Amino acid sequence: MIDSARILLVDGTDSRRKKLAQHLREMGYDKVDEVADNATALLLASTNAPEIALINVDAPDKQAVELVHQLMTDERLKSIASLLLVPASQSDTLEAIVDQCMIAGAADWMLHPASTALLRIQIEDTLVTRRRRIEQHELIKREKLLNDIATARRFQLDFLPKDLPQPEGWELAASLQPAREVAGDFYDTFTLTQGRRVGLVIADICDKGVGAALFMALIRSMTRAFAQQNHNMDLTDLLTSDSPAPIGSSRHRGLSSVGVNALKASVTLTNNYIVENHSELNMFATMFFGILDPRTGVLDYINGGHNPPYIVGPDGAIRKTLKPTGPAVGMIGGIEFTVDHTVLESGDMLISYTDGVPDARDPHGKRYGDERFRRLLSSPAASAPEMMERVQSAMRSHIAEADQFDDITLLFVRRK
Amino acid sequence: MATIISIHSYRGGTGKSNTTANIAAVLAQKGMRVCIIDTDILSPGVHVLFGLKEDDIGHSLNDYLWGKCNIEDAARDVTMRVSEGMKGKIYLVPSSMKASDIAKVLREGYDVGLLNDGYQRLIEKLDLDVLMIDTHPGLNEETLLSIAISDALAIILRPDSQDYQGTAVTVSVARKLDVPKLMLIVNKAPSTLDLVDVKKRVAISYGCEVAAVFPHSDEMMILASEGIFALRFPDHPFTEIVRQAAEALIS
Repeated sequence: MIDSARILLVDGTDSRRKKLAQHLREMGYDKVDEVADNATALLLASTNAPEIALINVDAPDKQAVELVHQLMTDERLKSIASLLLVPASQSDTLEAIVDQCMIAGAADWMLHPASTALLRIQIEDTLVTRRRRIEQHELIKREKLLNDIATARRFQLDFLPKDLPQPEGWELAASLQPAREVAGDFYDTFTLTQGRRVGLVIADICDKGVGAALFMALIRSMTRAFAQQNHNMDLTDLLTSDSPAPIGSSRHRGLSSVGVNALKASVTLTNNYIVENHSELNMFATMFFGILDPRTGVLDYINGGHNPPYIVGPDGAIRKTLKPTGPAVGMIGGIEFTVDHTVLESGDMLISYTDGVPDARDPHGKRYGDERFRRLLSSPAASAPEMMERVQSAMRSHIAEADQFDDITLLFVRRK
Repeated sequence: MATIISIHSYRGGTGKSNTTANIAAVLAQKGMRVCIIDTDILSPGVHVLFGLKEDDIGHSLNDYLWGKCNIEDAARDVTMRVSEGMKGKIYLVPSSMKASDIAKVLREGYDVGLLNDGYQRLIEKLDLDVLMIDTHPGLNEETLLSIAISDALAIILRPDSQDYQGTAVTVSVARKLDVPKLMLIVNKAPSTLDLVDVKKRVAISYGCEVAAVFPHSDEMMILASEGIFALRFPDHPFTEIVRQAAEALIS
């Protein structure tokens, strides 16, 4: 017996209502709210959250029909099961109203007064049916949610490039090992300026879950779309500013290398868009965005608060760490992202990754760690896919049967 | 180390292309390897002075910008077109004269960084002594980039008040861009003016060196559009002024 059920008893006839309430309490239903009219009934229904409403169908007017209808059409109240009490003496004349109540969504009806046993059976039956219905509803909801997550995951993976560009003399390898739930890592590779440059992006949205996945889709689309447009340089700012141009010694090289405007504009516009439109969500992404000239090996890049990628030489030594040149994208509006550049020589490999690598936990909860990752990279690899396989296998054996709780994303670029 | 010279004017019709071609020619006569690049993509014209017609152009700067060729593939050796037995070389990178190509630039734009890359590659591939950039009049991104990477900038003006004011704008921008050598060339000065006096006054009002003052002459105007004056009339006083201007720019 479920004796803790809260009951809402609605009956306009005071003496009959009080009598039944008393009777219910005696039967062990100690949480009974008694009301005489619909307005109070609805109020108590929403404040006390009863599981069952005993509604007296009495007068020839349609009060009961209205109440059932109001309960069933209110999202917060529709889980309350309505059990109609039909005075035995009027059962014939009330048939139409009972029908209407049942159509409106009442759970069941019974003649009143009834024996204690019958009353109890009816109440308990109605409660059990109600619980089953709720459980089923929850089950359907959960299944739908799991389905949605699977769809989201599939869509998210579709945002990753199908084929990586493979410029002559270069090797690209990438992988994204998703955690169980949707998360917000991504990598992207695409060509710019008619194939003369290759854009390399790896990013990690600060959060996990569906929100992060949505953000990933937004940021990936914006950065790529902005990067593939032609943008003005900051040079025209000279016409409106009083300060001299910050050119200095870079007279010939680096002033405006191909793709640098696109790089800068893409990160800046995406950053400002997020801050201006989504600041309330507190979402941001750490992002490394590089523009590679396959002919010279020059890599212009912005590192927006991302784990510094490494450049590993042919001997396995880490030649350079590409430290952040600005904050995470979407964090601070209107700020300037500095473009830095480096050169990949023959045999060098750019190792970019997300924090899923150092943060990977073994079954005892121990982090893989940056130090161990650097050591892993330090023995030479003959190709980018070989290095990728090495890292993936190290991750697999570290995590073992533990839950992978963050996406692990890798983007390696090697100059042959 | 090659010298990059931008030739600019605030307004059109100052004789920018003509001056560019003539300076290039006297430098090549001295034995230098010179390339002119026509970055006036929206209203190209310098190729005419080298006798190139629309159909002769072949690969153009536009093709390079759109990834159809390397920049050096768009460079044509025009030395023999203008003079035989010249010691140096003149190359020309023309812009396309096709309306559809010009429309495409207006519609789609291009990565301005490609110009900078292209300049450096031209210098390397053609082993240039001098790269001369014929710019689009007025101020836009391409022009600002060209000015910013130049070793020398020559701003051409006519002695009228519109040019005077416009030139002041360009001069101040060039100063901000920190161009190592900034010079003015006065063109089409009415022959009634005292050229020495004009030179002095212009130099004082802008606070920068005047490389040359070319007098206006009808004879010149007629001959100028039919080839390169300095090559056809090497002994003409005008040609002597071209030489002085060229010297001033590369010294």
